[in-house]
Amino acid sequence: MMMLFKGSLTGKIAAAIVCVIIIVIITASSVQAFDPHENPDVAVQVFSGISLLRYHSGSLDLLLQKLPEQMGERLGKLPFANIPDNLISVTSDFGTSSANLGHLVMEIDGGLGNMSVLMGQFRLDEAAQLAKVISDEMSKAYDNLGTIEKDIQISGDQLQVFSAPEGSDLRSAYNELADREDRIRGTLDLYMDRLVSLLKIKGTAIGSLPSSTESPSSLIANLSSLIANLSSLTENPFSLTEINLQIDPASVFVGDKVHFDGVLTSKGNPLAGRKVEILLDSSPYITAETDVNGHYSGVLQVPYWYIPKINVQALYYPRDEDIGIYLASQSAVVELEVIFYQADLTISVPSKAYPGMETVITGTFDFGQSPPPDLRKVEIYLDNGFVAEVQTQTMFKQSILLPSQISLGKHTIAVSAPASGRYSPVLASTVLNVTRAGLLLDIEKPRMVMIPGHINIKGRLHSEMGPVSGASIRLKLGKSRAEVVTSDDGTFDAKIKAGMGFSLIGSQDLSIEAFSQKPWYAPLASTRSVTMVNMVNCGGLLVCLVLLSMYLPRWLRKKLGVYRKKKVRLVTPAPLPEVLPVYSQSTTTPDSTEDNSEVRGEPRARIFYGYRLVLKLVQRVTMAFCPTQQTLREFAIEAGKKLGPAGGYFVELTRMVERLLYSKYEPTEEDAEKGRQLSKSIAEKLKNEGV
Amino acid sequence: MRASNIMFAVVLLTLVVSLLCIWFYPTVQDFMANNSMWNGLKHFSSSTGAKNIDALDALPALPENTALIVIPYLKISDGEMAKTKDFVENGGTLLLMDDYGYGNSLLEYLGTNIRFSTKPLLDPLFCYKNQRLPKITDFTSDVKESHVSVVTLNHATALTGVGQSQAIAWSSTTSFLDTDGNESWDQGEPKGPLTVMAESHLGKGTLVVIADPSIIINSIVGLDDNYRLVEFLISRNGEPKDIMIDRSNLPKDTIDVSKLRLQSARDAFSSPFALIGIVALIFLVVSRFTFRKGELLG
Repeated sequence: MMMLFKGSLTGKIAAAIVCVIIIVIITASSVQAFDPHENPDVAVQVFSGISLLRYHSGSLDLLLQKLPEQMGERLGKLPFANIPDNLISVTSDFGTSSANLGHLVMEIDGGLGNMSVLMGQFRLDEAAQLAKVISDEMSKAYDNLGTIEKDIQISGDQLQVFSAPEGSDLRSAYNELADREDRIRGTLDLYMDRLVSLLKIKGTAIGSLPSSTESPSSLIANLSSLIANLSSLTENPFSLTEINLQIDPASVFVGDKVHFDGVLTSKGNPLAGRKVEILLDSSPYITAETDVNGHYSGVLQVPYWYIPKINVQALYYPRDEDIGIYLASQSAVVELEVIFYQADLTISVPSKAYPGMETVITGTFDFGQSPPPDLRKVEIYLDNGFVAEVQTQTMFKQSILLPSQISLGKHTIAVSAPASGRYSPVLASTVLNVTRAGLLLDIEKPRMVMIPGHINIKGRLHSEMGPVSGASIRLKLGKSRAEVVTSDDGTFDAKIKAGMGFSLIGSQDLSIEAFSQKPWYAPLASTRSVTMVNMVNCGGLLVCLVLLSMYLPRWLRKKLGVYRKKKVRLVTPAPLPEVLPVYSQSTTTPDSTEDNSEVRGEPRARIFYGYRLVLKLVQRVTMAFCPTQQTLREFAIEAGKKLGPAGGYFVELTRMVERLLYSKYEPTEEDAEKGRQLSKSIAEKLKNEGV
Repeated sequence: MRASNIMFAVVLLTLVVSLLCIWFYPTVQDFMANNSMWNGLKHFSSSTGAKNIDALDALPALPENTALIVIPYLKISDGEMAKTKDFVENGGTLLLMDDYGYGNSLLEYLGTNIRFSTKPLLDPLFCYKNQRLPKITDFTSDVKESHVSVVTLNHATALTGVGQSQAIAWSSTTSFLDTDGNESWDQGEPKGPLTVMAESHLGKGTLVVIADPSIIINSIVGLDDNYRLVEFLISRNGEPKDIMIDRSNLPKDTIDVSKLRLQSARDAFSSPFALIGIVALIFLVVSRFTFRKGELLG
């Protein structure tokens, strides 16, 4: 590269430009320094005991608010917390115990409510059973609370809470958590008190009530003895009652009426004027009253619950004056078989639906052996949104218009037929695949395009739904663009200019974009290859080549010739050298008319001229040419062997020429004369040898 | 050889070596696709096949199957904002990831009420190592269904002005916005849960706003479910999309600017005009050299 730039002004300018470009590239200035993140691999590990303790407090708050689901969700996130290794196990225990306690509190709370109802109704057997369950739950709750208390204590130790100063955030957070734990204990104690007070029956001593100052375990133990006492009370001093129930018929259609009757007695005596509750699946449904014989009867309409079986029971519990005299009683469960018509609903939708287009939903009811209804209302929902309603008997077909902006992908179509009389509700759903129709492009384009010129492109745009009309087609070829709109049959005819460029022959990408305003079509982008022949560039290149072939050899000959034209100075006219004789018909005499100006030039030029003539002659005679890697002297020695006597003269002449070529020696007229003589001698010797 | 020529050769050699160093030396600048260090995007770019663009002119005319990730740490010009808006309205998916940059100007231009709070979101409990690396565990049901349960952020912020139906992810209840910068919660500072990701439909396209661009850097993208979440946000309907990462609005270090200029220079020299010029220059220099040799040889 240095050689290229050496001594050349153009080269140095070019090199300077390159250097400037490089320097501009290298010395770019910094734009901004910002630190939007840190390396997590080397980030400092920092725990926050305060946050952990306060998070625990928040969880226990939810427990106290009786929101066990939310508390469970909150505690379920603890595995993602940044917790020291020595607290992971404790935190896990805390979470488990808190979650368990939350559920137990809810169970106890609900159980106490039921217990209150049972005791109010003097259903002492059921109350005793429930009390046992609640008692067990209380025991578990206290156990879990004990675990929580222990976990709080360990956490405090590990986080060195007790070495923190009073009033510090850490100490406050710990105290807040301990406070929550105390409040929960208070809640459990309150539940215990409620249970004990519920077990106390008005006007009856069932044993001494446990003191709230006792430990949970002794409280539970005392509670067990209370429950045992309650069970024994069911025999003395209250009177037992008995109630039975019959229904007719035992199997009815939903909505039909059923007759019921039964008798309420106590120790074999009828109880008159008492209210009897008829329970359907344990819920009060209707009330009847006993007559003087303790007999009660009535008619109930089977509710429109489309379930095959309903449990029916009669319940008596003492009210008003009966309280403290009689105990409650429940009849045996009577099963009522409920009959209703069921149907299977099958819905079908097209495999593809398109935004902004209508899609048809088809549904068929199969009622099996049941009689079909006259008409049935059917509601259609798209992703839980009501879209259409139709009245049908067994089959329906409904079109729904999909919104243009509906997202692509899977959507849910739900069809619901609400319950109607003896017909149960039917719900069916299916997946509707919303997509867009892909555009297909058939295109006719020339295989080869000449530049300059235009390309005529014909084509047809269609999709799986048929031809696409009114769609825009955008064509782009290099910098040329064209836009057309498809006709009714989806065809189009476009013309795009083939722009000029630097290429000669080659392929170019023809970019085609097709899109429709109709929302159900997906846009299309496609690329086709077109062979381009740039006539202008090809012609220009051809002209250049022709001109070069004409002028380049002459120019090169001038530039690479032995003499430089500008250095030829005609100082004194020199005698013309003698024309070399013709030695044979096969050899050609060097052309004396080549450039006679050199013959008349300076001695150096004349010696060189003579040497060139002799060299040509020697080359013709010996049929040898001077290779580029051989010096003139080496060639002269090699050729001289074949020339005979003329060889010596040729070597001498060559040495003279080399001296002129590679030294600063300026030849004299004598040297020129000597050169001429040597040339002449060589020619004569060769003639004498019959060459 | 003359002294001036030797000097010239030394300078030229130095410059060429410098160019080679620039070309091959790895960048360490934030969010650069060829940065394989902890703060680069090389892993994300290579795993998703994302294409890096240095100008929004490279956005496709039909962007429906394209997701563009913009991290606006430099001021966005009006022209760029217009192009971004066109991109979204024509059906593209724009993932605008920012924390303390210029994202709000783009959001304002796009006509949505969502904004970046530009204050640090800290979470002392649900975090990776420290509170500046908060963990997100609350997502909408569709995100959870795509098996995303926890995501780690890095020096994130929170979003404001997010509608109920727009929110995608929230920080924990122990998180807070550190508005006064003292790294602890003070009275009046917003407490969690705070929205950190949101989605809005604009025209035919979708705008996804994420309050932390670091979610995709090499050291974070592999943590927890970060990659899965970004993948889900890019292709919500399960359709694979071409991903483009806009580099034009990212701050660049000297080496990055040099690399980009070098790349631009290479691209420029690849153009027909430049090629012709180079060929002509080489021809001229070589011819001159040849002629001079010819003259010397006589």
